Amino acid sequence: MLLSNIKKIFFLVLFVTCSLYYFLHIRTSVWVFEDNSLGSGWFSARNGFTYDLHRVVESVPNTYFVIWTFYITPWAPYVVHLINFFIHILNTFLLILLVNRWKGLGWFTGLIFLINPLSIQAVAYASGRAELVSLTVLLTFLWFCTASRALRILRWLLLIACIVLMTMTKPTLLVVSTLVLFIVFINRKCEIRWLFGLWPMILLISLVELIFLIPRVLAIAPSQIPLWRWFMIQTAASWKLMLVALTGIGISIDHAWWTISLTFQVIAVLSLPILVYFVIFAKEKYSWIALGLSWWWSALLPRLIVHDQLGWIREHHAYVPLAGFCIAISSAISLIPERYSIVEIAEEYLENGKIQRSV
Amino acid sequence: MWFSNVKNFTVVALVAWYLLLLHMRLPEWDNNKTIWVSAIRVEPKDPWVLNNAAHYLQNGRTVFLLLDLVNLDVPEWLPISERAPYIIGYNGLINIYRQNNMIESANLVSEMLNLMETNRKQLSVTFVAQ
Repeated sequence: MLLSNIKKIFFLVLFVTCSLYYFLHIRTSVWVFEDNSLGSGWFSARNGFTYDLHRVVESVPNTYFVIWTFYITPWAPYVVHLINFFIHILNTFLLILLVNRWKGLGWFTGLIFLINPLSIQAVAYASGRAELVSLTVLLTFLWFCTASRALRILRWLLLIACIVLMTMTKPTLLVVSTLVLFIVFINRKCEIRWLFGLWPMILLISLVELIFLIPRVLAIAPSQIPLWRWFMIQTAASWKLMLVALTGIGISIDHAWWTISLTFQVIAVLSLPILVYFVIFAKEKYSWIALGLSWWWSALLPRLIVHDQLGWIREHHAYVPLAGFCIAISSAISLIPERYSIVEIAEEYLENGKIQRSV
Repeated sequence: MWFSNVKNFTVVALVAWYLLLLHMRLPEWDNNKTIWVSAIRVEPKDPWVLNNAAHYLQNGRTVFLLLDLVNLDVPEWLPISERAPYIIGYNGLINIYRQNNMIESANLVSEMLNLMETNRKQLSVTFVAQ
């Protein structure tokens, strides 16, 4: 009953969310942030003039989308926050379109994504702009890969444009998009004929990925920690963020980072095989939950690999994975049977002292 | 009743909980009294940082200076908290920079310290390993 009116509920919640963001954050925000790489970071003597070619293009979103808007209206920092929030809403609608075409649960997925507390950091922290734009690019890319019915040549051109934009926002998107495409391909829910035509595209992305990402990975190769320790930390970080994405408990109140205890790391690593088993051998009923979880991990781990060698988590890195996780949450909730009544369960429990109904 | 259904109850509870969290957390991102001047990937002698810091100090705001520590070995004795892995005072920061022969960065923080004394405003220096 409720999910059949989900479109109306979405717009109601959108109105509430806009009000919350406006009155509690945008209207009163005072912002200044400098993350300008140009002229110092990517082509300087300090970096040996060769280090990090990707920064040339990666710095564009931060420099031109964030810094420019600040310099145009330095007296009005809320403009920057307003633009961030609009991009978040745009992403929500793109996700709705995509998931509706895939599965038909788009409005519910979009609703959860719009208000998920884990997205606060990416939206409210001004330098999270690149994360927001990168999700826009990823969703557009997936749309042209799996859902668009435009002319084939047009789709290819737009796909290549998306790849260029990926290198300009977050280069790890190249890895993420390839992985997500594989997952969607395995799920076989899309137009198969078009998907077969994607193999050259996947090859192309992989090549671009090699060119852009290998120098970057090599640059951080002399890590301070051994590989096994790194693996534990990454796994624990992804689990912890997943709990935060589900419950909203434990989100940070500013853009500081938090550390993860050793106990949690051990539990996380021990739990990993269960999850991998579920994702690989999921029944068709649970295939969309598996897709969402795969999106979560495939999008999160490359980000953590590149940036967080020491196990700190920055929540805005979870913005792109969050879209996938919201697909998993909405699919899981949609599997709950309608006829299962709380009142009846309670009555039965009070009468018999135990629950006999089966779901 | 519509909410007696487990599915509907879950949806409503989840949406209400998330909205409540938004309501609780968003004001903390207000930045009303805090200015984040980030010098990540900016040359330490860049006057932009100092000029902006001075401007906002004069307007009675707390300035957090985020510095690029990419080439710095982080000492083990630094205090670690849940919210920010490394928070130290400016004197500690100057010492770390000097120990690592990053004289320009140390001088930058010294200048910030002078600004603070000139303006008689509080200056907090937070640095985050990037």
